[in-house]
Amino acid sequence: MWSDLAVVGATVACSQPYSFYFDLIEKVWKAKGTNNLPLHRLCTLARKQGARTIVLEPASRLEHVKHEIDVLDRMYGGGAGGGAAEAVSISFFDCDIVDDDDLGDVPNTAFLGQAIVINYRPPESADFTISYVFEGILPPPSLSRDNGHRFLLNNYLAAHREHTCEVRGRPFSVQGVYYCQQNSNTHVCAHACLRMAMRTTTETDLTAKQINDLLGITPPCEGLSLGQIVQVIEHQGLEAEVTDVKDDLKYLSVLASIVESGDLALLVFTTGNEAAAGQGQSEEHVVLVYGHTRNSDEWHPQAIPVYAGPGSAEYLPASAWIDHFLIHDDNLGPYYTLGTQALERDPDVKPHWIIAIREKATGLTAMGAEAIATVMLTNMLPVLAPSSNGRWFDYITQQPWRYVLRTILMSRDDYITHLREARGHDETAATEEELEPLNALPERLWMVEFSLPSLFTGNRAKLGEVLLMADPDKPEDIDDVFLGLRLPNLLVVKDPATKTMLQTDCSLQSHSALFRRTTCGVEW
Amino acid sequence: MADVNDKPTALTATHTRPKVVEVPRPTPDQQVFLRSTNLRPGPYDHNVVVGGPSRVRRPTA
Repeated sequence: MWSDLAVVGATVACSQPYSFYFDLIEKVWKAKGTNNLPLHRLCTLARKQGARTIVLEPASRLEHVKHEIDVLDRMYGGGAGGGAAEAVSISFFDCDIVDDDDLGDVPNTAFLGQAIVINYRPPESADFTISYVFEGILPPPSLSRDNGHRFLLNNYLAAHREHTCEVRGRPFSVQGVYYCQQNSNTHVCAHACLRMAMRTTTETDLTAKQINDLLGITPPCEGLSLGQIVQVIEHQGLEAEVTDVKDDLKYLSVLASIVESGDLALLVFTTGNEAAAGQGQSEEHVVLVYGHTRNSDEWHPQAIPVYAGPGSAEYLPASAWIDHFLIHDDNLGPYYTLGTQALERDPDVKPHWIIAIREKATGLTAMGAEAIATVMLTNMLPVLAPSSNGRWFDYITQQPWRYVLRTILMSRDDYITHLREARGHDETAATEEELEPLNALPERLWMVEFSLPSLFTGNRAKLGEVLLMADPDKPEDIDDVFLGLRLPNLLVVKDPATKTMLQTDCSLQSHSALFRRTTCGVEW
Repeated sequence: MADVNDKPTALTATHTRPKVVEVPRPTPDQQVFLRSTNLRPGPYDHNVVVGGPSRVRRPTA
């Protein structure tokens, strides 16, 4: 059994001239030379959020911390002559706290988050050899906390969850994306990403030991196979969709579709380091992707457009305006932004795999949906031209345009609700009667929104949607996959009985707001 | 050619439709494009190992 080394609790003012470098990290990070960047990152975020007080206290009293150290100690032999550990929780507040007993007066809004650091010294060792951030729970960075959560400009989060942290026995709650660092022994970055994803999307507090027990792994760990990652996700009642994006710039669109649909993704990229297993294979690192940023003023999508699609049906992927993905990197810390050019800087550091974590995997890829959508849209609009008239209807049916396409996975019910609530720029709206044919759609579908650059970036609006099956038996059979199309004035929906496309009127005659699955704050 | 003003609008239409719409076939270049697109998820090698132990050490100058 390991020895629980004493940690002295303290309440410390951390405003200037307090140094997180020398007054905190140097003292609490005991395994010298090990990667303390995640704790630096957490302190940096706390500093940026206006931290004025930190509360230090022993964390080994917490059951999940004790359990984590037990597992680590067992790996090193444990037993009577086990190792020694100290665990410290560091809680950040943006107010002054002078009295050790006055936390009852501290409003929950003053709580900035908490990090728990574990230091471990193996049996027979004179020094600590392992230090890591066991967990870090902070809210997403925000501009102002006065009126609740106000995320940074144009930050869109696919998921976050309320977490409860205990500080001197008092619970504080915080909405955020769970973070943890690997210890390179009982868990590695794949474990960390799975824990981060599951603790953000489900109520399950998945532990590394549970992952290893499920997979029959005895630490020390050397990474997880893609099959094992999928197995863990499925064991949590979710499904995974693995896409090979090696040498494929479409990885940006794949990631965009996942997070815009409200799901999380694991992004795997090469590192240039040879894998421990040798054989000349490059080691691959995993990070969690939970959102994106969008720059509606981005120059390149229109100035030097890289159109996707065939020559006769070119389009602009909406992902062209995404300038960063929001990620947690267990090696560096939480709440980083991964620039969309970042993985083009080093030939050894390239995207390879994307693992979408969904309630249910799809039978048609997002890129497939986008490809079919651009073909259908291009071919259908001229056919529909004689069927109605109106400013926007005529504008898009009488001349071909290169549309912006945005691909979202959603339920039929959400789609119907979305259209029911949609209001055109001219205040028009679809009637209940007009939406009736949509009840014939399958339970889940790909909705590919189409827009024009000025509407997409300025109004955050679209002109309609192409609807496609998310779970087709034969995705190559586009007649089977194509479910319908909505544009100003018209709705075209497949009749499931006759398999014919039926066109009906729709009173929504103008552009309307894009569908939102993500949470955002200030937008531009 | 009929004047566009002769066409029904959503507001003036009497909803006596639905009307069947023929879906045009993809053009040859569209067919090539669709064939070159991965429509089905996967496949992938289940045995590829990712995310080994970190090599990141405390950075020094």
